Amino acid sequence: MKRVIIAICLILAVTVTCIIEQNIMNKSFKKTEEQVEKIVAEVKSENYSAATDSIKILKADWIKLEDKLAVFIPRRSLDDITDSAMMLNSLCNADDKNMLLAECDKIKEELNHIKEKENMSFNNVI
Amino acid sequence: MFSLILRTLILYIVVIVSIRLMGKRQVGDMQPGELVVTILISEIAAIPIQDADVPVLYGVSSIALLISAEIIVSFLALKNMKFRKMINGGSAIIIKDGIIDQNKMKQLRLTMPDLMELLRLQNVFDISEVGYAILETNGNLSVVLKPENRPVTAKQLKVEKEKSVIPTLIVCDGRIIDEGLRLIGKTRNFIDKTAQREKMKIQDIFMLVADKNGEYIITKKDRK
Repeated sequence: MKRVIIAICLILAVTVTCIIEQNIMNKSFKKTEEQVEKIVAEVKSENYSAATDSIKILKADWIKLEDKLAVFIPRRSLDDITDSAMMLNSLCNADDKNMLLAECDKIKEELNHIKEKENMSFNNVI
Repeated sequence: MFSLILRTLILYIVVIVSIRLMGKRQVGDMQPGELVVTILISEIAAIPIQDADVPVLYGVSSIALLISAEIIVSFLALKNMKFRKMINGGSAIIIKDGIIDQNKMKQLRLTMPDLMELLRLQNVFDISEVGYAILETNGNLSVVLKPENRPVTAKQLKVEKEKSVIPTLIVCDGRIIDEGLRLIGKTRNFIDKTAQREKMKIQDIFMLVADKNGEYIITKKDRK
C-alpha cells in the first residue's frame, strides 16, 4: 500500500509539473508575442529608434525566459527563437523593413509551434 | 561537461530509486510487463544523458509515470485475480502424467528442444518420469515428478529431524552486523567469546557466520 501511495504521489507530482509548465509557457509566450507585436507596429511606422529599444528589451527578457523554459522545453526549439531575436538588432540598424518583419513573423510562428507541440491535444498524443 | 556529470548522476539516482520501488526481482523472475518497464526505463534515462538539449525533467517525469503505472498495475493484479490473469497471463500445464500437451505447446510457441532444455534445468531427463510440468508466467517450468520417481523424504523414512536453522553473517570484514545477531538471538558477547576462543581480534575477522545453536564458521582476514 505504501508503494501505491508513492505511485499516486508521483503521478500527482508529474501532473502538477505539467500544469505549472503550461502556465509558465503560456504567460512567457504571451509576453514575448506582445513584445514582437510592438516591434512590428514600430517597424511598420518606420520608427526604428523605438524599435531598437523594444528589440533590446525583447532580447534581454527572452534570455531570462529561455533559461526558465529550458527546464521544460527542449533547448533546440528555444534556440531558434534566440537566433531570430539576435538578428533583429542588425536588421533594424540596416533599416531592412521587410527582413525585420519576416524575422518577427518567424519568431511568432516558432512560439506558436512550440505552444502547439507542448499543448495537450489529440494530435500530440497520437 | 559538468552539467553532463550532474545530469547523469540525477538520472542514475532516479533509475536506482525506481528499480527499488519496483521491488526485488531478478531479470529471470520478472513478469513480462515488469521486464518491458525495466527496459523502457533504461532507454528513457539514456536520452537526456545523450542529448543535452532534452530537459532532464522529460526523462524523470516519464520514468516516474512508468514506475507509478507499474506499481498500480501490480497492486491491482494482487487484489484482482481476473486482472492478474489479463496482465500476466496464466500458467499452463504442458505435461500431464508423462504425456505432452502438443496443442498447448503450439499455443505457447514452445518447441520440443525448448521443453527438453527446461526439463533438464529441473534435473529431469526422462519425460515419462514427469507427473506435471507447468510453464509459469515468467517462463520458468515447474515440475512435479510422478510419486514413484520422487526422492525419498525424511518424513517417509520416519527419520527424526533437527529444527532447521539459518546460518547468518554476524561479522563482515571486522564489522559486527547487529541485525544478524538479532536474527540468531545472540549478543555481542557471543562474538567476543568466539573471537577469544579463536585467538583473534574482531577487527581481524573477515567473516563470521553462526546459527541459533551456536555453530559457527570463521575466516581470518588476509593481511597480504
